[in-house]
Amino acid sequence: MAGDAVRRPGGMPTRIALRWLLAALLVVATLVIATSAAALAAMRRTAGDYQQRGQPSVAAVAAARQALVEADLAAVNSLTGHGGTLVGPGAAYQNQVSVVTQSLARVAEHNVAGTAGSQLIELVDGLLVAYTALIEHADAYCRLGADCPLGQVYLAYAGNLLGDLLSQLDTLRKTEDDAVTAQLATGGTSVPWVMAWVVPCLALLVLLVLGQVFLRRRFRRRVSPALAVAAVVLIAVVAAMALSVHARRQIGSSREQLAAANTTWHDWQGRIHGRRAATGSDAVDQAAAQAIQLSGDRAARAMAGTADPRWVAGGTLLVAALIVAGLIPRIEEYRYRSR
Amino acid sequence: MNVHSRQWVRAVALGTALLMAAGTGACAVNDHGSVSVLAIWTGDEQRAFTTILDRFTARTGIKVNYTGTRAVSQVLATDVQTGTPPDVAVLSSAGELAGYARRQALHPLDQSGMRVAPPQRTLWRHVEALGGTVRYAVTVKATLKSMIWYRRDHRFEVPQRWEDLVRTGTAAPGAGAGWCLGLEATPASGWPGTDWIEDILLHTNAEAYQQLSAGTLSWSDPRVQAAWRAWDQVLQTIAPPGPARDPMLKASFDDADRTLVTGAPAACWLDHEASFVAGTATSSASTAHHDVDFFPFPDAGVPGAPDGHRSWEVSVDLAGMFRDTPQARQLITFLASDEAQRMWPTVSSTAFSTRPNVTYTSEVGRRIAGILTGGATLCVDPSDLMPPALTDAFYGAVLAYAHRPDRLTTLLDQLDQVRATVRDQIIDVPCG
Repeated sequence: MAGDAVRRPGGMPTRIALRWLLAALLVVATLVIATSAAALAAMRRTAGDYQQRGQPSVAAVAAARQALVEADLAAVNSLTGHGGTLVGPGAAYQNQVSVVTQSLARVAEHNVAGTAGSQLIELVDGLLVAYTALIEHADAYCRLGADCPLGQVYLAYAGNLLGDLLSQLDTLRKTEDDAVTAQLATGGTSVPWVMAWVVPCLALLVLLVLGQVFLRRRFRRRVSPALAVAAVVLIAVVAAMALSVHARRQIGSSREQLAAANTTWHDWQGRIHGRRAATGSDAVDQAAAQAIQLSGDRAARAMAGTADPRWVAGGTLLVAALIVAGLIPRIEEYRYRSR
Repeated sequence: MNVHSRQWVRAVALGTALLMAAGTGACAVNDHGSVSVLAIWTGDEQRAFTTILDRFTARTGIKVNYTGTRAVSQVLATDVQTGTPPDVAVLSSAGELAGYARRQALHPLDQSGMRVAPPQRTLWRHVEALGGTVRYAVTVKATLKSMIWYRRDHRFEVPQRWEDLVRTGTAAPGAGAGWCLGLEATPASGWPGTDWIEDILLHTNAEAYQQLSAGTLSWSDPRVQAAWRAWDQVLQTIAPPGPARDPMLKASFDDADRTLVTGAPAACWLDHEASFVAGTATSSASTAHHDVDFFPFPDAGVPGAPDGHRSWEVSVDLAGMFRDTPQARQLITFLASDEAQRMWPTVSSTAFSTRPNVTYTSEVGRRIAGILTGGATLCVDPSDLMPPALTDAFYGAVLAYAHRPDRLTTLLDQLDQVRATVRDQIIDVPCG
């Protein structure tokens, strides 16, 4: 047996071949440890960024836009009705303007679009000041009673500015959304990052199978238990990493929900176009709010779904240890033998 | 070291040198930095301005981040208050810029290292110094006012006196209605009306105009009251006071301009408007039905006075530096340069330079430029010199007066009250 294992006619000496195999397995295993750790860190960073900044910023812009439309409706309803002289634009207007300012503050806090996003937020802030000033003018004239027709003129001016504001909010939403898209395209869930850990893992798996074949041929053993366990652990690591890739789908689904909420509000606004004194939007708000809630849930699930880095690191280190444990005894068998 | 090793050393050295050169080149491209600009221009005007900014970028490598909004005052106020002003802002109100200069939010120009071309005319020097002695702004472009635009297909005698003008608008030749007028210009609605009142005052009593502009004349002064009442004579030809004037209050000034140029034959044919109309005529060329021209606002005090001695109201767009950066300095210098000034007529037919020797393609454009750069007396729009609180009150009073002229006394009292609170902030730029 040993004579057969020492050297095959025209082949590499077994001890040297074993050392090469060990070296190759350890190099690729090291690569797997490094790439899987880096990829997992990037994946968690991407999912975390999306959950903590990207999703809240886009959702906040959509909420600000809707609150603004509802504030305008509330003001028009109040100032064109008999209540204008008593309550001005009304509590609903005040509440919705408050939602707009709070939402804009949230966008500023979570802004992912950098300078472009900041500039747009400042622009919207300034336009909002001009818009509320016009509503205040309308309020002031309507409270005088006889001059309410002039108040209606100011209300019309506010309506003109509302168009600018909504257009800038749409631009802000697109800017934030584009920034999220750019982050996801290069983030840990992107195809290049996935390939960066999948390819070394597959290479290691192939090497482990080749190692088994080699040992079976040279040592006539059916299977090397250590290498077999290493292959199983590696497959488990790959499975855990693959589950993390699911985060990408969760993020995609979260973004679809955000888009759905935005579309719901846009459609509603399209239906009331030209009728600023429209009926309430409770059902629409409820549907959109549910979509935004779902979007947030999916974002959280994306983050929670990524594998625990300690398990992946432990698994890949165990693979390396099993490789050493499987091959060192075979190499040792040749230490004192003549070739 | 053998030959083989030397080759390796050379290759490594060459590679390193190439990498360093590439790195230096990349830095050179990015090192020029950027400058943020805030202005009122959107649409066609934004496209024209960004063409000039593109030339600046091509010359200097500095990227320009432009933001255009009609709520430029509100956006700038928010930005300054939150400590994030743009590097450069362009405003038409010297009074507003003076407020920022007082709060030291605006940086003086002509500092060491800045070589900004000075304006030749004393008037522009006063405007750019915001009524003081330190230069804070450069004139980006100018707008001529005191103009009455009309359709050339209407036959009439050019009015020489105010009474003639009112009669011309009332007794429209042919089937055409008289005045095109819209007071909406959100968020500064009312300014088209302030131009009317200022023009009437300038051309009936230039001394009162100067005093009102300098903040030394009461709004309740009989000469000022007379100007307001004279404007109502024009408004009466359009609609009686009350709800009938709502369409005029809600109509935008540029819609009125477009109606002049492209409206039906029975639509209005006279428009008291600034030199923007030259641009409306050009941009609407494909659908234009009417060729337009202008005559000067009648000088009631001096009937038939020659153009060379006539007074014209003007406004200017001023660029101020809110962040003193090398890029902002370069942009300010560029905007005041002959190169940028000569570009304006090539990118916009609404833009006029305050510099002579700038070429304009249209005959109307050449006449406007001739007035702006010739010997005529130019007076800066008083509402551009007032602090924003008084300007806004003036705009509001115009809207309220157009709606209910019977409230004039109350409105003028209220304007005087506002004037009293901001009197020390009013800047004085004499006509010149």
